[in-house]
Amino acid sequence: MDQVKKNWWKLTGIVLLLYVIVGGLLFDVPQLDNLLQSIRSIYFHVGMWFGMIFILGVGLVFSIRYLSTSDPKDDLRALSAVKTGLLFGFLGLLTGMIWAKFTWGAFWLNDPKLNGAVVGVFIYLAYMVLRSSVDDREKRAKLAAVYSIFAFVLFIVFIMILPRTATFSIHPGIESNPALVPGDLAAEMRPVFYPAMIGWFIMSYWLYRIMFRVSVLAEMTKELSENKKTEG
Amino acid sequence: MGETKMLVVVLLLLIIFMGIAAFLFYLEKRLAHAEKELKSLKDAEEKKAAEK
Repeated sequence: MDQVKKNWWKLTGIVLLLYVIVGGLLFDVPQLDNLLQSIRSIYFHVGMWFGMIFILGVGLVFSIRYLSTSDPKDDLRALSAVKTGLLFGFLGLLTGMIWAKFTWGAFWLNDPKLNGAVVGVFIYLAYMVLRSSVDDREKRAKLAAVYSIFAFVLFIVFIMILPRTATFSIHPGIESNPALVPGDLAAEMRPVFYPAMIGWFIMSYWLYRIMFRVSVLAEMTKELSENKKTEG
Repeated sequence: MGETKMLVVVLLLLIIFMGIAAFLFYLEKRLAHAEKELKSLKDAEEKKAAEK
């Protein structure tokens, strides 16, 4: 019982996503030209992207916090959030590519949102490269925190602002916020879509927490072995 | 036939997802154990350093 109390939010996320798998694949969806049954991907593909944006936002908050506190744990929190965000980003790209293949006949199309998304992922990959190129811990953390702030802003520009300046996209949303504006999403899809979003948020936060704990353990092990070396 | 196939896919996905969730809980358990061990090692080292 204690475990249930302690892990209630994780269990909620699991139950929500189990419901999304069942509802997403079995419940009724509108029959639209071209999209047909592939519209069901929205519960997974969009959910993963939302989870990624949410967790990258968490990374941004910790990067800003690191600049004011200089607490190494905040740097590790930001790093873990970016790692989780990248994982969700790759999953989002993969599910999007599969969706595109069945709807548009190709894994990749010259679409402003698709190109923006991949550029956004590359911006965060550069964050990882930047971190690995600086040896001094404090310098690395400061540099990464500043970069992370710019990266998030650029990311939003590439996936939300620039695609709206295009004249055509296979993605909805040039004129509004797709799936969030009332009337944009079919009524029969909402009972699955909204729980899916909450479920993916919880999943991304859970994975982020695990990544953070692994990072802290790795740092502690490194510290202990360094101390032993200096003693020796 | 189509519906049966869909049900099999749903069942498979449910099993895979539950497997992932179970693995994450197992990972957290192992992490908690490792954290405990490392903390006791760190405490022992600090004690040793204080004694010196």
